[in-house]
Amino acid sequence: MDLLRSALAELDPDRLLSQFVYHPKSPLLFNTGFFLLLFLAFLGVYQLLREHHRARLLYVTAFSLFFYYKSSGWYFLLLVFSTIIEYHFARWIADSGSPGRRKLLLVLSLCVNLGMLFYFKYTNFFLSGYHALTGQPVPILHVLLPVGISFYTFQTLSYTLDVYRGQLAPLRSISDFAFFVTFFPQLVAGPIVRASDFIPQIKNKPFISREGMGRAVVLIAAGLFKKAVISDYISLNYVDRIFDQPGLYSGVENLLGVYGYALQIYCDFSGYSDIAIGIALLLGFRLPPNFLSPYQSTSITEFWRRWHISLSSWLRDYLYIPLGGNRKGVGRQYLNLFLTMLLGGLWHGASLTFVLWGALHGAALAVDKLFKQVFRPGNNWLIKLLGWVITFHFVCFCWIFFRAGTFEVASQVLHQIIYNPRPDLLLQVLGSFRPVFVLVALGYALHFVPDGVTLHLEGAMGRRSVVAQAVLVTMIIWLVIQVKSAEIQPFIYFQF
Amino acid sequence: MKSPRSQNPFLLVLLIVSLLGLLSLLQPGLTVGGVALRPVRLLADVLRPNPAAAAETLPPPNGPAGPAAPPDSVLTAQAAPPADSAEVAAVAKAPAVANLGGLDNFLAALRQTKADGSPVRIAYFGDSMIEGDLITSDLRNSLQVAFGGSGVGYVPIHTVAADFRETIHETASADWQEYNLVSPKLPAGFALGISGHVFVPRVATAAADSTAAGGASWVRFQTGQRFAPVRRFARARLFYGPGAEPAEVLATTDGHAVPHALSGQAALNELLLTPARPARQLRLDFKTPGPRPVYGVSFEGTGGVVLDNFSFRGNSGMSLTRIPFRELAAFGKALDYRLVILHYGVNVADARNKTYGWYERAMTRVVDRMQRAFPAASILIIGMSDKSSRLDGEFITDPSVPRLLAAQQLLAKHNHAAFWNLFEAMGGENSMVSWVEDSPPLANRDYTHVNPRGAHRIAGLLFDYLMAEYQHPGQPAPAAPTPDSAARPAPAPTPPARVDSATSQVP
Repeated sequence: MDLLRSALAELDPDRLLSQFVYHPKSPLLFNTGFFLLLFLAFLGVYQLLREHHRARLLYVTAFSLFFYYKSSGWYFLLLVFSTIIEYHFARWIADSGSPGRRKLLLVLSLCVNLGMLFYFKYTNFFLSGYHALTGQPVPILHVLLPVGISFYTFQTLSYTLDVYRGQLAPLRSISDFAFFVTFFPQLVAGPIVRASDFIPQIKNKPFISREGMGRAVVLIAAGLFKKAVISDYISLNYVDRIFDQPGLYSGVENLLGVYGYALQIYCDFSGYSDIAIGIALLLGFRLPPNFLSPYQSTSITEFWRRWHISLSSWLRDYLYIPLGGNRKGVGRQYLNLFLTMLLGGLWHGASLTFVLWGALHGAALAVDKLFKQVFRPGNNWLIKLLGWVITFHFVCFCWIFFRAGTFEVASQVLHQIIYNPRPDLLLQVLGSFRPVFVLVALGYALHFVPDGVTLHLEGAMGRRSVVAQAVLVTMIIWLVIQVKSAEIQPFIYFQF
Repeated sequence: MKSPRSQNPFLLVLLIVSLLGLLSLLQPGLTVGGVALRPVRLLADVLRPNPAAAAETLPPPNGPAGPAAPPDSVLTAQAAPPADSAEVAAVAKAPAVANLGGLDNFLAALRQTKADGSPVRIAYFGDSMIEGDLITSDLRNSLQVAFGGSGVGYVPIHTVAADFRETIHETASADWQEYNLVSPKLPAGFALGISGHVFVPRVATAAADSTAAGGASWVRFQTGQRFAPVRRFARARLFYGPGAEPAEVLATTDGHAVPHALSGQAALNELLLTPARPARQLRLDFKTPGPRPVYGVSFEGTGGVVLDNFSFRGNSGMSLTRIPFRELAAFGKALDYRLVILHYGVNVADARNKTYGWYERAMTRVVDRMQRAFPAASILIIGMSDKSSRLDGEFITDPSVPRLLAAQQLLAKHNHAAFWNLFEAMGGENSMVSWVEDSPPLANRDYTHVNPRGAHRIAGLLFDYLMAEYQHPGQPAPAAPTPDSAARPAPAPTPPARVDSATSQVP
């Protein structure tokens, strides 16, 4: 009791209150201590509302809006606006008998959705592009990008398009729809959940099976390890430094930086996705998997079936297939692949480096298709190994542009790798950044663990008691704290 | 038959929070296998800030910093300090240091330049902070715009950041033998030059001679386009040491090739190359019958400001004593410096170093040699920039920074040198964090080095400081009369070079 009293005395009411206010520099991420406490309180009420469908829905929606407000401030009104607009558009489309009117409504909905995305994400990109082409002075707007806008606009678009195609009946309750759009686990960083996958789950009473619990625990633990241990540590202590000024590092350091970044972005992105999927499972919702060990791929086509699956399948269903897919001849198919990936690249960020990244992947997908049609390569281990080496290195090559931000930085990285390789420094570099490269090696080793092992682990965890499950997650969180507060690696420049 | 009961995630999270609560009760300062465990502070965001939490959990002072490393080892990037005895207690907080005087010679020379365009030369020594002409390119440009002058100054035959440098692009053949400040062993015949490097071209044997003209060691320079004063050079001075004769260098400027004999036998010799009109390219092909040290090329005009960048990554400054004094003095005579800037610190700032008396003493030897080698020069010590380390997950100014700054200030004071506190100029305590987080960022995420934008800002701040001194020497007395520059020994005007090329020996 004394302990509690002294703890309460130490509580700083101002700091506690300020946690509930939007701070641009401290969004409410899953890997923060405050989120854990908040989530505990949230779950307490969520359990109490198990039997009350409507109240539970409103409660989760309100929490989700708060969660979004913590990341984006007043932009949460944009989310509210988007929800109201799309809910009505979908209903009007479904209720309208005339095809012309339905088409008009769809176009209007697309204009609102894409217009919003375009305004917030690409205005300055196109203004500066116009300036570069014509030399005309243009005003640069101070538009702040609302967090997650790329994800939730794609989510609402999938809903409206499915309703338009008659594949989905529109929701008759705006609270159901708001629940779908704002559902906080995947709101800011995906996965992009399909209306057709998610909406049927809303009316069910939350039920978490033993397998579901085991899977959630493993996903959250693995996600935290990938995101807050591997990715955060190697980016701060090595990768960021290389990409800050690649010209100051030898080729071998740059090359290790590229391999490191490939692991970093995978761990960061898939780790956060895994936590989101795990948290959704704890609330009784199943989201589709977003990453399936993408660097195990032996071709670029396979890579895109394993990398950011919710985006690539979205692009396939709502962009590639409407463009004609493979139904209009081989030449048109290659063009469609290329265009889809080009726009997919631009989706990642408003910069020409992302466009090039998308274009490279698009071209590679076309070449891969062509190669397989012409040569029909066999399936023996040598061809697989060769395919793996080529695929992995091609993906890494593209990551250089994705990460560099400017073509200048990207070309410096390539220049150093080609003209100042200095392989003799390899052992010195590895030795001097030992913790970084131990984590990189561990990260890649875990990546090649077969899926069966993971499934087995999930099953085993599901059969364990809740105490054992809590111990596993606690151990990982404790590790995260150790890594997060560890001293940084001293900077080292090698003579080359 | 499975139980139809739903699992309880609330219980799971409650258990996790409770377990973390138990872990937070662990005694702080626990170690496992020599690694200090970090405390679990789940409520850190909502509790009153605890001043004790910032208590240092660092090894004892001056503990051995790993295996004995040579000074300025670029591998560890932390010089192992010698065991230290009693020492002036370093102040815990960074003092607000007033910049000391000591720039008189330089300021007088600048005034002279303004009056008659006579040359003023500056040597800027530093570590990776100025690599690739960072800071120095902007500072040089500001000075050349304000006081006249052209050219990038002295360029060694090769540096690690040559590809990174924007003011001059440099390519050299791979067959040069290089010795420098970190070479484990320096052969007797090849004294290090002023930049801390010496280069030996491949000896041209009869066989190599007969194969092709491309067999010789070569270096090619191409001026950068960014700053107008350094886009072209009026003359280039090649510096080289003694060696077997007849040695020859084929100098090609803007496509026009002329052979020159390398005949000097002094410790330092100079070949002056004067293209018919200001040039942008220079290629040198060396044909030497025996080993002969070559140092670098200075690109300059005939008057105004020239600023030499002497960067050496990983350097603490202390190893500059590896340059033989005779060589340093010969360069001093040839280049006639009016200001020597010493900008070091990031390679010795380490939280494990509690005292820096050893550093001050070692650097006093360096300053002393500089003062003797460049007798007409003022010396400016630049106090180190802010550098962060991470304590309990938060980036803060490394505790060694104020200690090292105090030592650098004493170094300047005891040697009548000027001192400029870059740490304060950047914004003082924790300014590195805001430089890294600025948008666009001014510093890199090693929380130590500034990027080109940050370097540009530092150069501006340094230029402003120099100009404030120029306008009001001897601050803080703005009303004080300007010292009579005529009372000081004015630099002898250099006769303008008229010859197309000439070899001169510097004794």
